[in-house]
Amino acid sequence: MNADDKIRAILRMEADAVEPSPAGWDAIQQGVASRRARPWWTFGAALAGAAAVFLGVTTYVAVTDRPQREAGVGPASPPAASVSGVPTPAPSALVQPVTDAPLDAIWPLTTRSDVTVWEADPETYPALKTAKGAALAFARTYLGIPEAEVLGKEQPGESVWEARNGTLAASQLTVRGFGTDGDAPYVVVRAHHDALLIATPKVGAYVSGVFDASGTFEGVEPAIDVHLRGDSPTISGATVRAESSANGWTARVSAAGRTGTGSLLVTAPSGLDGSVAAAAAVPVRFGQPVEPKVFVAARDGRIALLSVDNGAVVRWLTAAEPGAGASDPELSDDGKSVVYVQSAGTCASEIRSVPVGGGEPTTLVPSGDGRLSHPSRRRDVLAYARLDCAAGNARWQVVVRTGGETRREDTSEPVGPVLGERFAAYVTTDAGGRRLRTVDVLGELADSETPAPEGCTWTAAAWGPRDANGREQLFAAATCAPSTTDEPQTRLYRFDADGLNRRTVATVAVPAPAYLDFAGDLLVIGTADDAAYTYVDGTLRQVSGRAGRPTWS
Amino acid sequence: MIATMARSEAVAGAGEVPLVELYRTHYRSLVRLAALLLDDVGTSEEVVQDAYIRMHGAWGRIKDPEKALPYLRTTVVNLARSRMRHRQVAEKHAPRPMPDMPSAEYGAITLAERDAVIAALRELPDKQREAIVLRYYGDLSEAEIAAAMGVSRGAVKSHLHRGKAALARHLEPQS
Repeated sequence: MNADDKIRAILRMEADAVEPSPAGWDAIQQGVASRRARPWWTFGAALAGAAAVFLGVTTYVAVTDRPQREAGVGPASPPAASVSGVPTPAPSALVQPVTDAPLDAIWPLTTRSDVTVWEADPETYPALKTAKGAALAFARTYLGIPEAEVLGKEQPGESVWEARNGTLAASQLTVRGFGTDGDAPYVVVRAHHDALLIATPKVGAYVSGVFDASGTFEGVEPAIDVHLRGDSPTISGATVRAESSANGWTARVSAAGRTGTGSLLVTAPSGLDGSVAAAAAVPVRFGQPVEPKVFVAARDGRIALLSVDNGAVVRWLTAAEPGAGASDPELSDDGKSVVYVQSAGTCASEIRSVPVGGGEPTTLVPSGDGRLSHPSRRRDVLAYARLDCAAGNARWQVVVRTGGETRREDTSEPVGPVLGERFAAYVTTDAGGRRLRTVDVLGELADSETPAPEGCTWTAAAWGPRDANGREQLFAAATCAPSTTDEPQTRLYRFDADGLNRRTVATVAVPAPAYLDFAGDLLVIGTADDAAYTYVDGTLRQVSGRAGRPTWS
Repeated sequence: MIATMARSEAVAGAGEVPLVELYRTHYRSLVRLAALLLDDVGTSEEVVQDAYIRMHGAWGRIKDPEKALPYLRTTVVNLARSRMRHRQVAEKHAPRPMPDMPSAEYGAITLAERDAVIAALRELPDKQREAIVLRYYGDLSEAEIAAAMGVSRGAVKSHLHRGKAALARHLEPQS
């Protein structure tokens, strides 16, 4: 190969690793639709009457924010007085101590508890019943644009809305449905502006003490304000003016004494009237990441809390029962319970749930004529693998139960499934080798199958920390032997939620991982022979003793 | 996805059927081209999607359908250039992912070599990187590169010469 051929080949190798998301066409259609709608906002007086009608129709979604939360921390135009027409939600009903899983969302719900409380009484925040309502309330209340309007397309799951301040495109809002089916409540998870970017902190990053926020801005004479906001009513926000240079903007911000979750909002004013011309925001967590001291695993046919430090049993969660015992524990997404398999025999097993804090187990899937494995639970969705004993070993299925509906996928013996927000992922085997498969829980989006990189074999998959855009990411482990003379090594790969865009993230000295589980950036790895490892900040550590299918507590 | 697109075609207006076709035939390669310019898949997708949206808006002005792809390519290059400027701060500190395994057909290229060349590509001045990507990944002629970048053919020659020289320093000698 000459130099030209080599450069060409290298660029192709690099580019061919990129697999665009199947959502591209939808995004283009949405963008085209938004462009068509623009005359509503740009024709001025000629369409003012129509706009007024539209405003009248949409005022039902306007809400006021929690008064304590916004006191003294709003951008240039405090909106509370001008955005009204619906009852103020009861703060006590929504402001929860942040002790459960953060959503990595910006406003107004930021934790799983918030979602639960909202679902109990959606009228506390009726705007969150629709993605448009959530986007509009966010633009008017959180961004502080009293006359804001939003453009976008209503759909379950994730949608993108352009928040407009008159003729200005002030921010692009990503709204996500946190309900069981990706529906209400809808919450803004990201506010983006092409010309005003936040480089640090990243989405969902921990901030504490005095920290530096930074980013880039494209504009003349930038005057950028940085607002750090908390969710607790007892914490007021703070605003600082950023310093700008050729490399972008920086601001020194204090998060001292803050706990729970919050957000960093950056705004640039309009040169005309000082209102918000550009805005970007990311969710943050206050404090330092704390490695859990215990994790859940199977040992001696029972489920137990084990110490990360020495592998000792801290507390048994299940009692000993006759048969093969308990196995395959996985922590539920709210962190409150563990789902696991209780086996009485080869083809007599059931899926149970037991509270992490202690209590009696409850049966989720009763014993039938199948062997069950790999249960995974996320809110009302339960997924597991099932071997139909009557049909012999050839008939494995991955079962996904969503509310009253059950989806079954025939497969070879799978590793998984593991449930994400929208997809279930598992490793399956066919004539071409092992494949990483993702299936849409609702059966609406395209499923995908990803072969392992050449020389590698998939061994396990798990959902991990979000990317810089706040999107869920899938991780998979593979055993790789670049050539027959090389020692096999284990690699950890990262994907988008739909199983596309593979990237290598680490090589770890764990032989054939069979289980992965993340708590934020913290990873626990289990092997088929019940060894457990923690992988934190690039450091791999083996936990003493046996631990089957470890999962963070 | 296919079903979605089929539905889209059924309701598409005059300008949208070509857009669907252009999406089918060129979206993936344009995202990959943008990824070489930007080193970030998500941003690359956004850039290419934006290019399609802009082309849809400009469809009435594109009289020759043959010009659609060059229009898209030029828009992608311009938008990627703009994004690169925005991302300079973030890029400095972003961790680099490890490369995937090389496949057998590229057995003559070592991982270290690939790493070094890609790293050098990222360090090239914007226009040199654009010229190199369009030449070696896009397989465009000098005239086509000049059109996509909005520069003269002479400038393209110069960018290619300098860019290639910088990358060649990281190629391992042939055994």
